[in-house]
Amino acid sequence: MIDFNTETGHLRLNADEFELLVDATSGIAKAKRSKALNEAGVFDPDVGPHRALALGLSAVLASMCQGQLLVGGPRNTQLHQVWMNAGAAAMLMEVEPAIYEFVTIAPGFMPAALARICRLGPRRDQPVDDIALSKRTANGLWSEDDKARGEAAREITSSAGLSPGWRETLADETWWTWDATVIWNGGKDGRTLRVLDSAAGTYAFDDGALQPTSATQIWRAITRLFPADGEIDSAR
Amino acid sequence: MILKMAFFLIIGVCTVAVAVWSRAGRSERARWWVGKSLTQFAALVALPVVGAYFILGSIIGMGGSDSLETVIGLLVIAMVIVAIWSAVMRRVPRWLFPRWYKTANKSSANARSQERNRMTLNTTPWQHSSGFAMPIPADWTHAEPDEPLVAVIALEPPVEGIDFRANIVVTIDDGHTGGFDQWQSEADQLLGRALNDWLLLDLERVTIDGHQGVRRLGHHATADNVPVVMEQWVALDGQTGYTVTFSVGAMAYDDLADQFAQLVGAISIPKLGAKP
Repeated sequence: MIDFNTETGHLRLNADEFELLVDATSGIAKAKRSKALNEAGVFDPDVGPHRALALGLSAVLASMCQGQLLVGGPRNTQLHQVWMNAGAAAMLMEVEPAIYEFVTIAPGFMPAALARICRLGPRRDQPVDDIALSKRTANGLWSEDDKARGEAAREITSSAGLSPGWRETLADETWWTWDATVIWNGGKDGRTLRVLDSAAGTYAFDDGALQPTSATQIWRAITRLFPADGEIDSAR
Repeated sequence: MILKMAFFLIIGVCTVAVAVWSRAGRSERARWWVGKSLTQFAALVALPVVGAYFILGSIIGMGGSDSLETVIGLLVIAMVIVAIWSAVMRRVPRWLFPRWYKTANKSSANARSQERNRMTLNTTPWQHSSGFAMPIPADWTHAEPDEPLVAVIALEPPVEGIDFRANIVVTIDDGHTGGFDQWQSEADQLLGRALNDWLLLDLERVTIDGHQGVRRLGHHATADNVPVVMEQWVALDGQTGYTVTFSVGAMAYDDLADQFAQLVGAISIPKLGAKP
């Protein structure tokens, strides 16, 4: 069921409906005639997408870079997608299981939008020691599978370098992980950032280990996820 | 029979070859499937499953052993399960994506920082009449405005295509009788009220020239809706508060952060009662 506020441009829909909207915007005749899109006021077959959505959909269809953000807690995950070009950026945020909100923002606001989703902010502690992870544990922590994440978190509990605050966090299951990947040049280039976070401090995953870090460093890494001017192939 | 099986084998090999070519993604044409879940499903699940089905089917048809048939049967079942899961969940399992797609050349955002921030900053010394001193970037313009509290404003040179010029504002104010924590608690509340879409990113205790202080990092939107990162270094000496605020376009903070820290490292706060 598409929920579209024509005044604010807030659009909630499922993945199929979103694909239909993108197809309709790209000119696929069958999608343009979709009753669901037409009745919700999202897409007019004679005019195109609603003006509140046009800019965001242009970012989806002609993106300079695109990415996804998987946020996982002990018992749930949310998968968000982002697109960006020089003029606009768009996000498809999973707000409920399999229900998404499509949002258009100015490209420069994308890092802040990601930071809000990831709950980036000051932490009461900063861990001290690196914690080496096996490949299996690392894959588990940033898996879409709740069980795999839970098992990986339990494996970390026995790590020698873990702070008392983090032991408590793992026992209370108040941690969350996120994995952000941005790709460009048709997927040939890109960057990834993996984080394990809680009120007890923040770790970034790099070189096979959880490395203690600060919210400032994570913010800087978020902005570095996106391509610098010279990294986009000029032919594109 | 043999001809039919050979035909199946050829179809299977061709299909698997297309799947391998797509998965490797060596050219833009080979990455045809990137971006849409339906094409991802086709390239990463459907093509390998169909290809494997034809190849394995032809092997069995040409006379394989019972144990080989069992192994092949299990493989086909596993692949069909993945295909059904992907169809039901409407997305391809993340582990099925090729490494270059998932980690995109294994370039981590952490690693990229090393290259960008090694620029040595040329500075010029600046000292306030109170005795507070810090270096400011040599090519930035600076002025001591006739405004209460504001000691200096420094502004980076205009850069074509950049809609927000990075700047430094130093404020010095007296009368903080309630102590450091109360002052900063009030400051936090004020920032949230005064700035659009204020997002506090980081807050930590620091020492600035031997004085207790805090460093806060936040994001907000200007009146013209430009995304800006603000880094504030704050210290208290007696009842006198010193606040150094760096503001920079949100995407440019990473380029300047180390240089800001370099400037803060050279701050000199006058000893109580020892004004020049």
